[in-house]
Amino acid sequence: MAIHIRNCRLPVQTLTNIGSAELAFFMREAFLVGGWSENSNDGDPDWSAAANIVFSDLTPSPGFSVLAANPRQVTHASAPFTSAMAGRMMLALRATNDQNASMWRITEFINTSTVKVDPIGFDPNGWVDESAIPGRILDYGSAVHTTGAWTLLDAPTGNLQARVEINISNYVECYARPAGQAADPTETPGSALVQLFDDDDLSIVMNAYIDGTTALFYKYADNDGLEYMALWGELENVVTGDTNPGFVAQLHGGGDPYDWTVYMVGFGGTAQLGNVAMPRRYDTDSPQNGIFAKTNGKLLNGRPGRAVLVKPLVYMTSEFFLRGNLPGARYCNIHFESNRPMDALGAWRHTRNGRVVPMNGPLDPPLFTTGV
Amino acid sequence: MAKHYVRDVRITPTGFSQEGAMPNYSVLIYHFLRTCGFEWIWECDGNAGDNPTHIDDGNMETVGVGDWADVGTPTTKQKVTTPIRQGTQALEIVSSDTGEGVQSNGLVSTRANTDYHIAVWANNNSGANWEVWWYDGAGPLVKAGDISSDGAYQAYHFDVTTAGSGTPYIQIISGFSGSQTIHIDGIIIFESYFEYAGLHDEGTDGSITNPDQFTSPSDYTFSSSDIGRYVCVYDSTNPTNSGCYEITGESAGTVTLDLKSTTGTLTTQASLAFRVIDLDSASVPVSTNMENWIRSVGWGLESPHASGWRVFFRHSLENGQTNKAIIVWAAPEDTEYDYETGTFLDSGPSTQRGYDDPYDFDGTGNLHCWAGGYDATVAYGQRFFLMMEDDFSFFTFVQYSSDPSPSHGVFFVGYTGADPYNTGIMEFDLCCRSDFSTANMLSWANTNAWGRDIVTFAPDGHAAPGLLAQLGYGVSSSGIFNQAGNIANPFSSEEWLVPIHTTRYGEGESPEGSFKPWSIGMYQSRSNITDMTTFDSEQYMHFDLGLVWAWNGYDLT
Repeated sequence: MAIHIRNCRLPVQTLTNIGSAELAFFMREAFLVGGWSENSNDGDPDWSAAANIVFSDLTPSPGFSVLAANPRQVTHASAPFTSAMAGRMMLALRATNDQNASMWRITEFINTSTVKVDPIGFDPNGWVDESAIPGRILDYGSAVHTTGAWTLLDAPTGNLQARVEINISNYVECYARPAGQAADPTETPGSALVQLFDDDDLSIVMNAYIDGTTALFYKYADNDGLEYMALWGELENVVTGDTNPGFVAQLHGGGDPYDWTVYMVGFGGTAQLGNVAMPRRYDTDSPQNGIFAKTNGKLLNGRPGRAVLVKPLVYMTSEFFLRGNLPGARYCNIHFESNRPMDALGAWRHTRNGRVVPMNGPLDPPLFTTGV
Repeated sequence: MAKHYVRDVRITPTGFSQEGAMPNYSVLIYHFLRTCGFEWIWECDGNAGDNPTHIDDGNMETVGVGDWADVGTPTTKQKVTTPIRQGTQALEIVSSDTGEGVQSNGLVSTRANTDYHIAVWANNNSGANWEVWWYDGAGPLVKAGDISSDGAYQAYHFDVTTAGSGTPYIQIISGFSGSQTIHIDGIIIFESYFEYAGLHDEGTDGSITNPDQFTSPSDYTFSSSDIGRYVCVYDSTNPTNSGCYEITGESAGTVTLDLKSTTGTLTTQASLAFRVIDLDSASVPVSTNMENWIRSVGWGLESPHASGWRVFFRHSLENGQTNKAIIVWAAPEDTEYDYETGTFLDSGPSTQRGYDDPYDFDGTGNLHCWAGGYDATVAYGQRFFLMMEDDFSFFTFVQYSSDPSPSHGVFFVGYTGADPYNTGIMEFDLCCRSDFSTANMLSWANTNAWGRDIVTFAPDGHAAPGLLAQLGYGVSSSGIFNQAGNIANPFSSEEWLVPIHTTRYGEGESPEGSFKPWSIGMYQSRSNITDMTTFDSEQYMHFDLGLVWAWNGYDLT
């Protein structure tokens, strides 16, 4: 399954690390919606507190329902909704159909059995009739965890595990265990930290794309440049015998669009390695300008030709070999228009400065910013 | 798609005139392509400078018929706009009796006692032969051959020889009584350095016997004197048989070919097209045996590929007569060209039809070339490799120099593989250089390297500049392909290869630019693979600096 989560504005926080706590809580739920499963957590009661998980029907009994004829509208026969949820809480549906599976802000309270979800996050293709959908209602504004609380999630297939930890410095720390718990994870202190947002972002608008073992979390920032991305997955195009190509990677703040830092287990089997996804040079002005050269490129203008869209290639920095391609992300010339599709099919979206993320078709609305 | 290769032809040039072995390899390329079925469309000997065809109005584009005297009293002698082969007009001759026709002006700048070749493009729909007659300067006037009535334009070829003195000319006259009509649209006269000189013999009954034996049952009788010559052979059934091989032994009319491989063997096959050629410097147009090196010899061929793409090579010399080069121009289809200069007309796409400056084919500015910069004091040995697609959609070659300061030549012309974003002629590239004052063509990024001066084609058919998109440049910390210590993937011991990509500049009516991945078996690898080695079970060949070709499973000696 491939799901898109859009425009999930986490409530404004004022305490130093509460943003980190609510983001970790959001990420766990997104993983779960995307088909991952929780292996374990640190036992912090806030992972299951009723203040955070306001309503849960995972059996389901009777489950949530959606109808194509009623866009954005979600119903539940047990009348779990309240007017206080609108504008604050999130609804996460673990639906069978990808168009119904996602997480949204509840934006409109209709009655205790019916609400409407955010139109920006709503799948542009609409609902597919489905009932008995497992799901939960969550209040991230209450998600206060102890610093150091963590959750460990299993990918739907393969060995990859993702570990998300709340950090006192207001980071979410992201780790991967490419070979599961049987081999060294990438979480040796200090060397594998993936920082998903910074202290200035007390209000975060999160987006995610989860497709099997690939899980991308990102926020769009069109003006401050602090556009962090965290990506879990397994490298594509690895050779036979490379049985644990799982990784976690970070694209940091305002850095170059190819400047992913990738953490995974190397050929040696035990070492954790910092890796660089390297750029291809697509200049059109001079050899030195790299992908920064101007191509005057506005896309989808009806002319034949191919926009630069590069699949990052991962180089094992300590072991000196090229290993595979990152799934779930691309990069392009930095001069392309921001927040615009890269192709007519709407498969990829240029966020800004050359960064490219999966797009949910040509009608997928533009991303919202953090508003800073 | 299967590939055909010329594998490791090694030549040490004589003299130190900065030619490397380019003239020798130009002859090799010409004959190998001809053996593969490329069509001859142009050749010049360069002796007449700007008009190497030796004949006035050879392209039939001069207004009027002042360059054509009457022979007898032809009914009509005029320029017409239809039917033409190319350009804007043709010469129409209508005779009323046998022997009537036209006579050329005296030929220009011919050499005494020299063999020449005449090519006439004619449309004879009269039902009877017309004739080409030759005056060698001393006489008598003799018949060179017939132009048969074939009902459409085609090339007719004649061999002639000049006398010790006097000015030669040609006549084209009717060979039959009554009113006969012929249209002439192109005459080239040249002292051949490619189609005839350098070609020892040719045939179509070449027979290969495993592992390395070659003979010709009837077209040619090999002898011990052929040792040292080369055999160009084309085998569509067994592409690994194709190549250009040095003859190293002979016994009873069967020769032994040097395969330059310890593992490669030829597959037994009969009825193959072949040419026996001389590549020694006495037989090829090196500067020391050319009357005029500036604007010198050249050839033009048309590919058997469905597009009919065309390529021209013309040897030249930069001002100051130092660095040698071979100027190259090409067209992605059968674009019309001027018979006199061989340069393309603007009626169709070519590398000479761009947005900006006019093309400068005599070696000082806007051009593309296979360049030298070869050492002027030492004759370093050269190794030559050529790869051609089975459907003739492209060929590429590497000239690898043993010069410790290498001046490798790398060249590509043709279609780079299907790409839905770059269709038709946008798949066509010419990769070489735009300047021949510096060495080291094999580079991915340096100015004037083959990766820097690509001719691409924009959607509107204009030629547009481009370059090879590179890995590992642009950001110093990310120079992955050049990084010391790089190894093959330890999980498989195989190399990671990246298909070559072209980036087209945004220009003119296509300001967006574009990029294009190639899908024809040419790659970039890490640069520290050992030079000139095959790898991954001989499925790939690394030349230098990360340039890799798909290979045919044979190792190299």
